[in-house]
Amino acid sequence: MARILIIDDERSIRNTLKEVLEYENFDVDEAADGIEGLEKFKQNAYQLVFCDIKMPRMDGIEVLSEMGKVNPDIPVIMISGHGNIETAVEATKLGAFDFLPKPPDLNRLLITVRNALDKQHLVKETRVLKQKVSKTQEILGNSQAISRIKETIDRVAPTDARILVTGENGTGKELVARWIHEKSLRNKGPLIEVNCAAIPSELIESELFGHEKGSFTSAIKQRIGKFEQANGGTLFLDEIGDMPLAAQAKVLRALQENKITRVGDSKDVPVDVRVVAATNKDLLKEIDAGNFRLDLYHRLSVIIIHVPSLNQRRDDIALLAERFLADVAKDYNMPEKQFDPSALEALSQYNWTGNIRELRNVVERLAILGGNTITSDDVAQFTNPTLERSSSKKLIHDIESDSSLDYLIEGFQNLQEFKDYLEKEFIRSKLRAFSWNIAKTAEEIGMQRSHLYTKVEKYGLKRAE
Amino acid sequence: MSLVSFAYLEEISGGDKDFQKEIVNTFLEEINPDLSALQQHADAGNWIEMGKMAHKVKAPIGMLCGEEMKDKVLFLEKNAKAMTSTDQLPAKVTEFLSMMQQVIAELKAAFPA
Repeated sequence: MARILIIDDERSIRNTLKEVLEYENFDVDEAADGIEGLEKFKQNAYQLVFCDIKMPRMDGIEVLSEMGKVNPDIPVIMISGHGNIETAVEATKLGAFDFLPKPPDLNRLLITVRNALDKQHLVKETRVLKQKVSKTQEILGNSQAISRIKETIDRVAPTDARILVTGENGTGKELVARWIHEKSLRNKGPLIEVNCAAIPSELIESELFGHEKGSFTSAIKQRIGKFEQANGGTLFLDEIGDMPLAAQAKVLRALQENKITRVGDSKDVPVDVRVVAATNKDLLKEIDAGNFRLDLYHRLSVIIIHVPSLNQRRDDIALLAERFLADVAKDYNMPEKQFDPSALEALSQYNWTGNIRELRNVVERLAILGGNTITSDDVAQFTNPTLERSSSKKLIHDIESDSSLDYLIEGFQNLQEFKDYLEKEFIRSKLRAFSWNIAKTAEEIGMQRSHLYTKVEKYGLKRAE
Repeated sequence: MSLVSFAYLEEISGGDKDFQKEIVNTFLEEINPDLSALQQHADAGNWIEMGKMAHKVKAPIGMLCGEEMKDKVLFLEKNAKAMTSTDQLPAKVTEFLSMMQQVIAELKAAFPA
């Protein structure tokens, strides 16, 4: 039952609204002037407010403005005997949900209440859903290294300083970048991510800076680049160490001058973007090798945050594993499982070359394939690459002797189509397993990065799949 | 000719007589001090304040009175706030207050205590 506050100095109007709304099973509270109304608004949780405009002590427009500061999500319906367009426009400009003339028409009153509550419900639902789908997960861990990173984020996020996040693959550099954005003054703006390693060198300029229609063969329409998309927010340049030198020069200019030029255009476009970059490479070595510009490095690395490998923060492994296990159970709608202490110990001792990403994958595997209580034997089986390979062999053997393979084959007339199908599914599965890290996936499946990129394009594979 | 109208009250109350009586009683309890204040401001030629009082009584009048009373109070409010037709206002106020006494009597008759 929604709780509604009526603020009006006219008792007859308050009573009328109260009677009507209580008849509709709403819980109604009332206030005789703006100051009393604002106090009640601050102290109680309402889903809707009716507020008169002309009132002694504090008028309705001021009350509306103050309530907006306290909780802007609560719809406010202004009511007034004035009933003129100007007042209605002024109120809605200030954030009122709607305006009703006094005395309010019953049907319009009830429709407006229903619409306002629907909107309030949607706002709430949207927020919950956003939180659910938000990629900004908590940075888990109590180790000294992680505590230091959290402290650094808190200190540097509100500034506009450029940040370089370093660390091995799978350590959570992207998560650090997300938290820098979330805690920055730009958090109402967009966070745009670019994986520099996943974009072919000939397309990266267009991807970053956009292009004008006709600027090159496949430029069939104008495209807004990532810098412009990130205007007012943060641009996260992941795997910056893989960015081609030509693009590095243009990024440098964008950082120096705060403006970009779309490919095929001569006009400068001003951009207000904070850049956070990340790399798993030693950029100083890359500079020595002539693969990375020193001047760009200095521009990007005002603050450097190094994310330690999982092996360097073993104290956090149990905490991470338990959280991942709960997450997997929730994601797959499975009953919750638990780790035997020996399993947590075994996970803590394992050599995590793939870091948190690998731990997440292993826990997912354990959740699906292990028993209700995951033991150290389960851990040994599902983390040991040798055993995994023998499992793969066993799987292939199973498939060979399984009628499902015949069934699959029967679905294809043409060998090439069958091969393409298998290739597509294989690549899709591997990309998922490596969280769409193109470089890592290519390395693992023994394929050149550019070749893998071509396959992704060919099969129309998308990250959301 | 009756100056009151129960059409709005009927609609908003869904025919609930207790609710209607409560609204009318609230009106009767509050209207006299407001009308007195309106008269005092009019007597003092304080048209802006008189306009505010006219605005205040306009909503309850809109709930319980017919179009004639609504027009009267709207005339007072608009002209007092805009300081227009001020020469006509004293007579209009007297007429309005007299008609309001009829409204009060009609309401009391319709909803005896």
